[in-house]
Amino acid sequence: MADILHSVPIKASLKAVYTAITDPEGLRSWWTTDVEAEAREGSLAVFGFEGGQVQMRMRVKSLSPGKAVRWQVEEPTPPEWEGTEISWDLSESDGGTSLRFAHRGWKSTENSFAFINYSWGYYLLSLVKYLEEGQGFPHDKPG
Amino acid sequence: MKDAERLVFRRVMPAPPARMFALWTEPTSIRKWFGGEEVEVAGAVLDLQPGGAYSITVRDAAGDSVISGRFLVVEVPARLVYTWKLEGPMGATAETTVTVEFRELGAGTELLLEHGPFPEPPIRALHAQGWENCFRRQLQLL
Repeated sequence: MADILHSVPIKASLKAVYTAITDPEGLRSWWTTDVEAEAREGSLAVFGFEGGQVQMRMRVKSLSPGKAVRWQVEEPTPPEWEGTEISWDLSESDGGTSLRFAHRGWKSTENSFAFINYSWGYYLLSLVKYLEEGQGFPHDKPG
Repeated sequence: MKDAERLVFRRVMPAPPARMFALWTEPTSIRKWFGGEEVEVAGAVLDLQPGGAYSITVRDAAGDSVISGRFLVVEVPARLVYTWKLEGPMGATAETTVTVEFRELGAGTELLLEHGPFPEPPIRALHAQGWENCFRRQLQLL
């Protein structure tokens, strides 16, 4: 098993960061503009890429306001995402927020692992830009 | 206040300004329209005069939050200006200001609302959704 880990300092309040990763409008602003989600435990969040040809389906396993968010990747998944889990842990740090991100449970580091690692880094920077400067760079629907 | 940090709404409401002003300031009315489907108003207390304080307690899945502040301008039935601070399970937001104007428009009211500044975009978006919910619920009451 392998895990993707990122530690991200953000100059934004806990509430702002938590909202950006739980509220559909927030998620649309930095990850992908194609989002169906609600901030409710047990709900299914669907993130579309490439005009809906690629979908990431996440079961919202737990929500602890201002502290943590857990997603379980649901089938059908992109290759190699099966059985993986994504977690977001937040804590206050120097008047801002410290985010610890994890995408755990990869069976192999071959194939797409390294690209997905790069990709999370890219979108986490988009999250930071959205929170700190008001403008992220989410994946957009073609056309 | 920077434009990007401010929320601005204009709505035409099917009731005269006096009715809108009452809807906006009477605790029994506020309990019916404030918040949204998944937010219950647990209490509303208002001292409707310049310098008077108010607080509204809302309850949702995340817990209780209190919105409180002071009235800066009270002009019946045309204009209200008040400060706004949200304190909840994730701490408190910086103080913002709400300005709401009720202008006679035929048999109804042109409602203008400004709220800000919100330097954090997700917090601004959250309040935008909140006001949209409020307007929708007000329309159901009129």
